Amino acid sequence: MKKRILSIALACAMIVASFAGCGGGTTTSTDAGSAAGSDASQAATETKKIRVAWWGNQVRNDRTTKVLKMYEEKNPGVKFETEFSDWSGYWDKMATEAAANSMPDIIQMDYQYIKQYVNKKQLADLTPYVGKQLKLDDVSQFSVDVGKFNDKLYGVSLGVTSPAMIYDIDSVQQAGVTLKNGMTMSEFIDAAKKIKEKTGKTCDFVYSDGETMMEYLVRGQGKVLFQDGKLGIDSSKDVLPFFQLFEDGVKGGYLTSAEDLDASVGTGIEQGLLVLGKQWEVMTTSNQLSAYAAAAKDKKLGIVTWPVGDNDTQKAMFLKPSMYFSVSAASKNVEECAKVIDFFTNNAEAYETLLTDRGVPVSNKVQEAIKPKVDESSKQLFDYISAIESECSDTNPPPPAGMTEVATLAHNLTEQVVYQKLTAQQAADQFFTQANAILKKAAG
Amino acid sequence: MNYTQRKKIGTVIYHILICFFGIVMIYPLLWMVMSSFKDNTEIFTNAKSLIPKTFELTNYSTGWAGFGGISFSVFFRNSFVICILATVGTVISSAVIAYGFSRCNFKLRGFWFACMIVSMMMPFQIIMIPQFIIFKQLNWVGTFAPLIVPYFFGLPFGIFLIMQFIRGIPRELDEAAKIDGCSIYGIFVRVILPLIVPALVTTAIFSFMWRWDDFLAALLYLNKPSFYPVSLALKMFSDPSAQSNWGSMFAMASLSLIPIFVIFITMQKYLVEGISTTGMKD
Amino acid sequence: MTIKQKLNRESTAGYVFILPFIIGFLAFTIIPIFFSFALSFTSYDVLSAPKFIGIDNYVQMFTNDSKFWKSMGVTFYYALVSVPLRLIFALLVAMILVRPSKASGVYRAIYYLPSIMGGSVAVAVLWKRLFASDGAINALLQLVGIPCKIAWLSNTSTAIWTLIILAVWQFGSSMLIFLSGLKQIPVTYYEAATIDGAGKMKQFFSITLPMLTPVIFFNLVMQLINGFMAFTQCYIITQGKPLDSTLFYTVYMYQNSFQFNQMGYGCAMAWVMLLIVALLTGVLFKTSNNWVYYASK
Repeated sequence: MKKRILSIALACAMIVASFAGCGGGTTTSTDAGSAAGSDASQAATETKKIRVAWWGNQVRNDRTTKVLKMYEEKNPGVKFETEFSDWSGYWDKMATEAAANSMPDIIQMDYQYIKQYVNKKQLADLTPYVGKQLKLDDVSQFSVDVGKFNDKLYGVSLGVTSPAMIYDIDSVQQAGVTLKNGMTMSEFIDAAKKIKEKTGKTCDFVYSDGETMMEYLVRGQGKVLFQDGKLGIDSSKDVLPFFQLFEDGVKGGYLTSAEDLDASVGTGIEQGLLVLGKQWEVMTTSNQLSAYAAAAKDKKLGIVTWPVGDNDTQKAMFLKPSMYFSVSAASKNVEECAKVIDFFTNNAEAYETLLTDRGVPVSNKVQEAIKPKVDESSKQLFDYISAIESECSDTNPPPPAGMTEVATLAHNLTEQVVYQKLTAQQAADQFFTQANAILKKAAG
Repeated sequence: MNYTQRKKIGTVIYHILICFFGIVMIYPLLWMVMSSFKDNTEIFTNAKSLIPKTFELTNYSTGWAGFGGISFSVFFRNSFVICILATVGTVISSAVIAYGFSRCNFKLRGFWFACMIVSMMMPFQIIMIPQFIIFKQLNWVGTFAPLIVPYFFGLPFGIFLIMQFIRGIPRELDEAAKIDGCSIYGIFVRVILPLIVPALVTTAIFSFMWRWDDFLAALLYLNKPSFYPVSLALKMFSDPSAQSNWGSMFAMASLSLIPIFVIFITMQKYLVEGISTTGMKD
Repeated sequence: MTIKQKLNRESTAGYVFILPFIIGFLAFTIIPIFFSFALSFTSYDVLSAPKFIGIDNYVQMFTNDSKFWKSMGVTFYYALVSVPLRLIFALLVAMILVRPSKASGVYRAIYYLPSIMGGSVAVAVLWKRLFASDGAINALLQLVGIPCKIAWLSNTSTAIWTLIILAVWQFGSSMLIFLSGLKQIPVTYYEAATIDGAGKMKQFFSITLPMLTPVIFFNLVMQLINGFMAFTQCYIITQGKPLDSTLFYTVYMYQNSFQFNQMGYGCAMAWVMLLIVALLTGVLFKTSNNWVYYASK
């Protein structure tokens, strides 16, 4: 008996050791030089191992992997190691890897996070490669600018998106109302009341992520919610309209019930209130249109801009990068990474595989090339983006550190308004003082 | 009504009650399995009904295809390798350590025991960054080692559980073996081990299940998707900001329950039978 | 004394047996624990180097963070209610299922299944539907004649109960341990008791319960620790809603550490919880001398 246990233990230890041995070098990016000798390529003197990380679903994982394989075939000597995970796991992993100084070479970045990573010097400056390995001539000025911080390029936007309201065309027609780009908030609310009366369906103003709507409304007043690491507004008056939307909505009965709103937070599009038929609209971003179309096959969906404030002095709509590719500051192959990003930006062939998974392509040439090949909802998306471009004003700078906590605060206060524990005025006052405190702490 | 009739009726009621509550217990599982046969859009719009409008097997085929060309057969293989090795390590080491804690008197025993209990109270999210750095220094990141090797040094849960069982075994048995010339080590192997089989089996079931479900450690320590276990792969069917493939997720989640279920069914026999000399009778 | 004799001495043998634990503890556990302790005195956003700020995190926590107290309260309530309920339920079902019957293997598996499903998405989805105002629970209450329109999950006083019920529903792991504990009680004890004319009830209180105390104690300690460290239930089902009435301490700690970039604060929170749980566990161990019966003593 004793002998048997010992031998099992020994065998296990050996198996473990063999696993531990076989992949030991994955944390550095250029330790595979020895394998390059057997490579048939004449250009490559050594194999460049490049780790590429992104978050995404089955579709994105498949398509991105395929495009990377295409790149490998075209560039012998480059070997990709892909790392993908789900959205929330992705950021936990990135934080941990950043702390251990072992980030992947190419990192998919989000607008919400990129500034932090830039500020903490985790990302490489791509400016030296622009015009050479990384060509941005066909890319719209907007898409280039959103990757720049202190005049240096830290990320290339992979797709364009914008705030958008996706709605159920049948419900709207049933109530005999029409929706259009740039309608005012009171027009929208009148429509919402009628639709509620006729169909029983309700509406929402981005309950789950209210900070986006708040920021949008503040923009209409010619102000920026976050500026220089603090609130860019002078008093609670500027955020009052946001909380007022919810207070009035509850009183008027056209806002979705607190119960349903709460149940829908964080559950994904397929369990969303539009798909389940409880709501007639959802305010989100335009790149989600195809996901909504796929999830609500029984509905005909339309897309228009978010309503704008009644007394707006400035265009509130804006374009936003859906996600970026950035390069780790610790990468030993920044040049090659720039080439890879170029491939993802300018190669029409690559986009035949990628399609609009990451939003409308940033290169005008690529857009033209793939337009005939995309499905109905993607076409709708292309048209929407080109229709609203003139409605947009400059994009806000990326949010400062502490923004997630402020967004959580905004959500908690909205929740209290919806549950009628706070009036809109109280919520606005609390938001103003507490958000300032949070940002001050985060900056300090 | 005579005694045997009463007893029979009692037995019938016993089974009916157990079955009724059993349905309550497994309803979510049934729902998940049935949903895996539904069309992706039907899952939530027709959630009240267990029966799909049309039986679809496509969720299984698209799900099994996996991500980026890596199918679920790879994920399952990885899960098995990790879970089996980690479980073997857990059971062996925990039994050994538990014996030391419960049958030997040594200096600082209380201290080490306290260390073990306290180590269960640190949330993984808090220690994961320093632990990641340690494993990185060991050059283990990107391999299965961080998911397996630590379990060869005992699992506090298993150690404590087995300790409680050993402490329930009368000391006279040890003394008798000692008189027969057994060493402390001999007593462990010949006397104690056979008596704690139920505890070992319980530890094994738990260890296997926990390793099977654990995705956070896998997320951190594994890089290549071809090394991912099932638990981590399942996460990737959902993307809250884009399209999620719930049908495939439920399909693969249903499949991923099968191994744990089989392990449980086969192992629980040993729980019941245990050792012929011990065990509770009706 | 030869080496063999030395090794055979109880104190040496003890260290030989627990050596794997000591190695593992020193290699993988102690450093991270100390590291987190050190970080609790810093402001650390993970992406850049930690900054020493003394006890500011702790001061902030106790004087200026209402969510800290709220989540602490929620966690205490959850742990202190769900743990006893779960254990009683588990023991009850274990007693019923220990009856040897042809079907008992299947029954055990069925009652264990909810625990296998753990914190999966399917459970999260169903739990929300079950407790919706038009969900199955209210429909069931309607059937028994209690008209009920409560939206369980959006009512601040009932929402936490949906999580407690989930914890009780997943009693399988405790049940399994009780089952194996029950199986370890020697049959001879019961035979002797039957000869002495002791009834079923008497047997339960004079044999089963005392003999089971080591296992009960084990379950109590483990469930208490798990109860205070519960994370998944809140994270996947309620996310603290409504109005933070179900915000678990660990979830708030996680938010601070990773979402709000305040790892230092998160570490401080972890240490406060560690001290509380360690204290409670210590008290349990102290009292265990009075009620836990070990055959080996």
